Amino acid sequence: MDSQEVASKPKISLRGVTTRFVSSGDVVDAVGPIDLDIADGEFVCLVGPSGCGKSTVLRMVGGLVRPSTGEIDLQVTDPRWATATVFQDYSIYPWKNVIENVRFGLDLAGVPKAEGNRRSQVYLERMGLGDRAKAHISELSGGMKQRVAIARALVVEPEILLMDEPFSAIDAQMRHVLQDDLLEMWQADRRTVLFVTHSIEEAILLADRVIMLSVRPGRIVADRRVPIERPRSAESARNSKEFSELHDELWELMRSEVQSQLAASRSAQEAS
Amino acid sequence: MSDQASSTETNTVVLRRLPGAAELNPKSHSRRRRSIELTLSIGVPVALILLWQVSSTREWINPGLYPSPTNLLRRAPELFSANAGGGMWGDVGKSMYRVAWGYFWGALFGLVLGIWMGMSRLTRAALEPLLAAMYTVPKLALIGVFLLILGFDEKPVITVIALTVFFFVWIQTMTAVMSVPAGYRDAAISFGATRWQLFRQVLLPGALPQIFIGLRVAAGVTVLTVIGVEFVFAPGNQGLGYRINTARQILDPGQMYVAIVIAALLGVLFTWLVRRVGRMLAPWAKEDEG
Repeated sequence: MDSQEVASKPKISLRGVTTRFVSSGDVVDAVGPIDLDIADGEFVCLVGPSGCGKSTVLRMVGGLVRPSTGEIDLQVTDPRWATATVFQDYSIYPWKNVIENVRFGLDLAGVPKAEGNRRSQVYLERMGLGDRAKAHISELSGGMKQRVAIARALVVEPEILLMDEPFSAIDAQMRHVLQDDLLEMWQADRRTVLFVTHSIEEAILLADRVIMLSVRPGRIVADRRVPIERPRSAESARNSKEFSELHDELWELMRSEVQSQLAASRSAQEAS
Repeated sequence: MSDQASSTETNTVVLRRLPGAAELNPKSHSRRRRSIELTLSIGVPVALILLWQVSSTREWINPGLYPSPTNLLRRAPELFSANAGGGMWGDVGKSMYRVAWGYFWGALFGLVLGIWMGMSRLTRAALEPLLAAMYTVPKLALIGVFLLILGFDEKPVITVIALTVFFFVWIQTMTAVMSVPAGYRDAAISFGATRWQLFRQVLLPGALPQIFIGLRVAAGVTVLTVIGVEFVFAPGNQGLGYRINTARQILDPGQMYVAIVIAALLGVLFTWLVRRVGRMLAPWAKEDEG
């Protein structure tokens, strides 16, 4: 496991975390046990085969679901803005225009509208949507919607930014653009980020540290620092030797995980 | 037509896709198609009314049973004037009164309970089996019971109508709230929404387009129910349903047709009104919703 020295307390700390759920009368182990420390200002990507529970881990950190056992500690100064989440889809409200969507978290907290608009406009500009403040959501492309979602999460200036496969429903070209935008923004303010993706490539491009989960119940099978220096751009990182080495290693690991699962389910079928 | 197949020497076939009339001249083509659609939507009803007119005046059908449209139009003023036929304005007014109040109370309770049950699992568990069982009780059949309980005035009539409306609105509202995508809720909860904020900012607007479908269906049903109830019991012996029923008894089909057409127009008008309000309150709804 990772052997970094943590001077201060970790920003996010998971201790013996598991989740279980009941499915047609049976208790299914979905995640864990997981022990994980994430330092302040670290960009961590969580990857793993589908169904491994990586999104569940993120949702637990965000407080949307509770762990079945264990505990999750977040070191924060203001609990109100501890986390903000960017979801894969269905999170931008079609009954609000662009700036109303961005302002949403501020509205909920009772920030005055004028103040909320001013702060939202700053983040819209940063996401290249400065002139679309009054636009209706139905007029936006998928990439633009996701920019709005990112702006909405950033405007509350969360201490921890959670991203749940934010780019997986977006076409490949737009994904590259958004990855670059995200890198640039993160390198400017170094917020703690937990980013869930099924793409090993995306994880290496973005993260300081890539953590891979096993097939269900998801446990940590790899925890690697990304040896590519910052500031980096997606373009240069993709062409580096370090990238392809880490990519191959993680890909090999992922494949053996998936194959072991396939083998297990096949033998289970034969047995029944 | 636009696709041509031709043989070449080597026995292969060339399939050629060519632009058709719609592609070559898109503007005039779409204009022509729109005008054809408009002509059809007006022309078919007009043609049917003309057919009715001619059949009746030529006596292909019995004009006593099927009075011609012009005949009905001539009779309408007489039916509406107070001294002659007995003042149909009074019937229209009474029926509209019952539609309005029955719809108001039914929709109000339906919305409140629908939203509450859509948001709370426990309330759903407590009330859904009960309401689902009552859903299929023919409300019209309850008029007798309500007459005994509430007295022989407007109250039992409004109650039956409200009850009918209630079930349509309740079930559609509950389903609408429950089917707001989980992602919408998650986003609100992750930004720290309180239960009220979740309702006001997300569940209500998210469900509104579907809710208005229920309100629209219920609007049409209200008029049907009012007419039906008035067949059985019409306080003050007034109402379009009462008028249709008495016209039947005195063998006056002309009067029946006029009242039926007015009732139908009332239904169309009311449904249109609810649709307009829905468009206003939920402009983000897709064309087929709300």
